[in-house]
Amino acid sequence: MLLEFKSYGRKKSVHPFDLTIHKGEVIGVAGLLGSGRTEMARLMFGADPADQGSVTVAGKPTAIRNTTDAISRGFGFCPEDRKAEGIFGDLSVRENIIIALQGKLGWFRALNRDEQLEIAGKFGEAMDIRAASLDMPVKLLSGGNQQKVILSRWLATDPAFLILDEPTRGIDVGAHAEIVRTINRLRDDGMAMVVISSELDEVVAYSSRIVVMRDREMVAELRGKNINPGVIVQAIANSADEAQP
Amino acid sequence: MNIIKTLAVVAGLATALTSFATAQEGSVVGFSQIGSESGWRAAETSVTKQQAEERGIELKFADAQQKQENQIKAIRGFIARDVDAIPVAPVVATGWEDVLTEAKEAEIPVILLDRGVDAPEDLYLTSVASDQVKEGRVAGEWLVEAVGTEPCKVVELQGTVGSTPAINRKQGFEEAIAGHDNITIARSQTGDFTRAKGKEVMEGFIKAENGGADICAVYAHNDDMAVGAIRAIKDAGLKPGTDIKVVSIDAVPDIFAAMVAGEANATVELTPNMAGPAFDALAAYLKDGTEPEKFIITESKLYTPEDNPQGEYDTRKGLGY
Amino acid sequence: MKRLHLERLANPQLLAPAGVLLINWLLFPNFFRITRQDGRLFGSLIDVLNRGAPVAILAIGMTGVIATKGVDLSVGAIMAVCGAVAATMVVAGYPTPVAVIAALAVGIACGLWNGFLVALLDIQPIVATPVLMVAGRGIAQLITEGSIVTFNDPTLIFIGTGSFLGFPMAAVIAPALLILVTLLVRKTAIGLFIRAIGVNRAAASLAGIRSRMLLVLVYALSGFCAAIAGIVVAADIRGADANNSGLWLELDAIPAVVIGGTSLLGGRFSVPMAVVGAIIIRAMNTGILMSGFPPEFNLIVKAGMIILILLIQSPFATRLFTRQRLVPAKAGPK
Repeated sequence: MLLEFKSYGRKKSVHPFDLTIHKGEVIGVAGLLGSGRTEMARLMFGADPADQGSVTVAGKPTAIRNTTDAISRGFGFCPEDRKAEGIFGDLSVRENIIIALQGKLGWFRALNRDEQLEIAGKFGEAMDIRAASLDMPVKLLSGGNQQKVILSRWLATDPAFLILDEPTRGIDVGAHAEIVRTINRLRDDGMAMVVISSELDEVVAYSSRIVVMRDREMVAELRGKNINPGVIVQAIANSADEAQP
Repeated sequence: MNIIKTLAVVAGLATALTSFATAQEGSVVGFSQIGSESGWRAAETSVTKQQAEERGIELKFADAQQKQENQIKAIRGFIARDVDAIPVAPVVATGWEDVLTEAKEAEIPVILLDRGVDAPEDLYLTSVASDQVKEGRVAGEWLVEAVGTEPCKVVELQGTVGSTPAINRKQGFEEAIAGHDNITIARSQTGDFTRAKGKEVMEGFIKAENGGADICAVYAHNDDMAVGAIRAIKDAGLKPGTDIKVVSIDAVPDIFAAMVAGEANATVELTPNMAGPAFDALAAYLKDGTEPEKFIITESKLYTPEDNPQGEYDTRKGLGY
Repeated sequence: MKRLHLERLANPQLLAPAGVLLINWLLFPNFFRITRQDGRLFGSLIDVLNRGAPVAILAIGMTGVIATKGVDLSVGAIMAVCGAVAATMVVAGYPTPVAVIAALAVGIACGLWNGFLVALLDIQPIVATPVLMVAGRGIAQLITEGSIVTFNDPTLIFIGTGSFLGFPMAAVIAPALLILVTLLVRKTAIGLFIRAIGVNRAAASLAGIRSRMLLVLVYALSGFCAAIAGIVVAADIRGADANNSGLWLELDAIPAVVIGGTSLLGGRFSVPMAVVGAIIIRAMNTGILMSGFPPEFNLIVKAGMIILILLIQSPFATRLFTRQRLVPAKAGPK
């Protein structure tokens, strides 16, 4: 068991929830827009700190007060709003890829240009980023390539746990396929992931379990072979009292 | 009009009668000061307090911190306390009519210090101020005498562009050197009345005028700029006071220190003693109702190294400059 | 190879200073003449360096602030406060190093206050920094008790008017600070993080950059630089002038940074070019002073020149430049 969130929550944002995540496991998060999916992701990543509950990482109780704490424990987070929260438009592709790793290394252990180029080149190739140059501003890339850049940014930090919020929204078919392939590959390599997505077919395909959010509350955890889009839709649609046993 | 005149006469009689007993000794005066924005202002405050003490006047002091509303409040307070006179250094020229009328109705004479106001003249007893044009003229006349018939290129450090003292002091100086063709103003720039800018502008003048060799004298609209200019002259390897004459206006302590060192030649005093003439006029008025002149002009005294600069420095240093 | 060289020469950021110096030379042919005077260099160009130093020092600190999409309007007032602290302390008999260190510490404290307002209370810099801009002069007045505090301490005076290898001290301190700060942003990750915050603060926080801490640092550096400038200016006139020291100097430092090519939208900054910008502004001021125009024109001429320089550097003009260069290049192979 890699991660265990217990009664983890934040007032006026997400009701306390329990969730355990193992290595090599993808947890799909389903729910309508505004159901609290993004809030849950931000909570787990420490972007909005929890005010109740506890979390253990690899069996050790720990506190995640901010994103720096989360990153130092091997977390990564691709936000939903790529432009507003993910991409540094005027910085180069290279800088966009290495920035989280550099953040992890701190102010005084600066990666020099060669190291940056090597890292950016390696992950750019692995993710098949189509850029004329690693030194061009990232804002000139297509949405799909930008998403791959953000994913590369986190892979460069060698994370154990990735949170992806709508990683395939608004990008072209080729990039879409590449990202789904990457999710599968990372899972097979043993990475734990939480993937928020509105594309249910896709979520069903790569997830080991699916949690359903409604009204900022985790209302169901679906597991096993009987998960299919129909079941998820039903879980999303069920009103709160019907869900009670 | 007649009523006002009658009132004024009655008021005069009344004050004359009461003052027969009190004279000036033991009278109470409420002084509304602008604030302490400059060294000169601080000196004016301490000189006013000194002058009051010498004459046995009890001085109530109110610092307005650059705000007219504070001054108006202070004046109303003085009226309520029924003081014998209210000297005011007005922060702005306009907006005084109401409160001055209140003082007049309470039969308390108001004396303006240092600056004038836009209000009917009968609302105040008198106005004590310096003549800035004359200050410039005295500085210019000193230079005319000092250089005689020798040709002399003058550089001028103006005050803040558009300010009244800058305009007037420039005009007075030009009046004094008019007709003396050997004296010309070669360059004129603003030094904003500050030391730093005075030094900076003087540096430029020196470079532009053949390393300073062509400059015969510098005329600064205030002593602070002159002190800055003296530094620039020294940095250029020249002797201020000898190679380049230094004449300025204000007579603050630091220019006397420069005179002691032989680095400044002349300064024209803007006296901080506005209160002395004011109290004299007040005494005469309180005694027998003598109406003073409406505008009392303070002396614009010239100081040179012959006037015991060390002594002047020592006495002035204590005034809060 | 040759064309590349020409292109670099046509860089508008270097054209501007060249143009200003050329105009100065036309106005005043002795502009470039430098002589030795009592073992120190003497001439208009030296004056430009010497007088430009305070603005350059401010610009060094201001660059980081502007690169994070902020602005620090309080630097002039911080100069006055720190000058006042140094002057009153040496007059009170403290050893000079103590007075200087105290003044620098006060500058950093002022910067931390700005950083606290901007980074921790999330107040817009254009609203937060004027607090100190206004209050600072009052504080400086309180310290000097309303008068110009003059001093005769030789060490402190040396900072303002001494010389090192013939160069005025101010023109030595500014490059030293420039090298120090440039190393700090280039050799550490701080430069990258500053740019990242300037471009997208939300993304920077999610990428694990401690953006609040960095913002506080940036304002503290600006306060530190202002303190140095304040000490230099006070030492230059051997007195702390609470009313006038550094007055409106922030309005020279900000255009200096912008002329130096730092983007107000974040993402791009250069500390050395900001110093070049400061020199341009200073050279312009010197040119105006020596031109013999009546002083009423000073500010108008200066404003016109700054607009002209910014126009030359605008993307519009750059496009115009490149298009004209492209034509012969295309015609070449035919």
